[in-house]
Amino acid sequence: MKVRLVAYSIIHVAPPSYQTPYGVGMVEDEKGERSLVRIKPDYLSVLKTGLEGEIRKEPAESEELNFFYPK
Amino acid sequence: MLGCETITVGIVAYSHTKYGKLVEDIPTLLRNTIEGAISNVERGIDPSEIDLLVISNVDNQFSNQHQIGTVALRYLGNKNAEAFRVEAACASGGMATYVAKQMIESGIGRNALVVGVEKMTNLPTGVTTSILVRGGAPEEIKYGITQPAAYAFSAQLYMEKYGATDDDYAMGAVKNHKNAMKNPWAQFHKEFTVEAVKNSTLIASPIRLLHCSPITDGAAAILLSRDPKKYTDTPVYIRGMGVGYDTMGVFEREDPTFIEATRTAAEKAYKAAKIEPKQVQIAEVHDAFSPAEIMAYEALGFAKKGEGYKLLREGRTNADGDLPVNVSGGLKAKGHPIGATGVGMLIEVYLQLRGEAGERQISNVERGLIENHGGTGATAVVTVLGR
Repeated sequence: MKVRLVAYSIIHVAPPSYQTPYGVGMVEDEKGERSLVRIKPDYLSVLKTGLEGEIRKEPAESEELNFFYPK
Repeated sequence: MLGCETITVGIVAYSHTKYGKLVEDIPTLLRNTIEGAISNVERGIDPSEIDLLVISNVDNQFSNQHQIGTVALRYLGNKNAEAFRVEAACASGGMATYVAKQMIESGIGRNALVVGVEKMTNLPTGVTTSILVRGGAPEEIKYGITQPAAYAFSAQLYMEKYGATDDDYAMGAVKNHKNAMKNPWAQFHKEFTVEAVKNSTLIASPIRLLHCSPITDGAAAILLSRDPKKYTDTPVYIRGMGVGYDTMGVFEREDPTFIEATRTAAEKAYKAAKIEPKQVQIAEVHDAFSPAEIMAYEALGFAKKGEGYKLLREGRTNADGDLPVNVSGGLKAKGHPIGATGVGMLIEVYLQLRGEAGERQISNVERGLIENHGGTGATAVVTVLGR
């Protein structure tokens, strides 16, 4: 699914079960629907608001989450 | 049941611990605060006159205690009182006060003791962070979005939309640390420069350590009465109070840069108090993270949307400005023992109105406002106090 990154944050302090740093974001799809995403450390240096990308569902700490991949 | 004639509930006494890392456990904090408030009633009160004991306490993983209302009851000296806990995350103190006031106005009780208490420093920071995450939406919790990260979304969007800068967010922290220097209850007595705030450790970009309120122990209590003059010559009256709500998640909000719950609560409080925002002389607002103070200015009507940061730039909300905000040091520097916070904020304005705020006293205060919000602004309580 194609989405646009509306806002994001790189988290450096988190509960013990998380490996920092990791990214989280708020994305908007083509219909204007907003949802949350996780962002892998590989992409943290390229993040900016408005960045386009796609969502892939992948395993995370305890369940599958939507991950954002920049285009 | 008592009669339902129109009454104005007043605050007639208080008790407040120091904020910070305290050695006392929860039962001791409850006992000291309850006994302290009762002993501070100028004309005295018999515990049998206190019908309600409302406890604001956010998380029982912090307190390690269920039925905290009943635990507190043992220290009141009136086993016939009704005691219970109220929880609305960081807005718990305001909400507990709101519930107590409504119950008094409904004729359920004559006097209500509202006690806020939290013991947060006894757990490792990571565990505390995982408890505080619970103040967010279920989806935010699932994605590992900590409280500072949820505020970070709002803070980032606000900067992009309105042109606020890192300097503006830092200025709120600098102001509140300066104010806390005059507050003996404050957790921190240390000033910082704008540069120090901007260079502090990143927690959840763009939120840095020195934008964040701390992990704090503390307790505070206020005694509300339907007959305030019976207990003191100088009560402080609750002139207006309102609650408001928004979506739990920042991502669900039409405008993530605006605290709609606070706007709703403020509208109700202003209407009840029959005042406009420009008539507020002093305010304590919920600066859990420094950008939130700016957003609160706008939601409370102190500034237009997108112009809140200008109040800080112009020094208008400094202690010597025309609308002093967070003279206590705010959550940022006074501290944020979450269950106690809202009650402690009310006490600051109560003291200012009575002319008893010591070195931080603002002259001639007749009307003050308290904004206490929970989560990232999903629940808000706004109170107008007056002499």
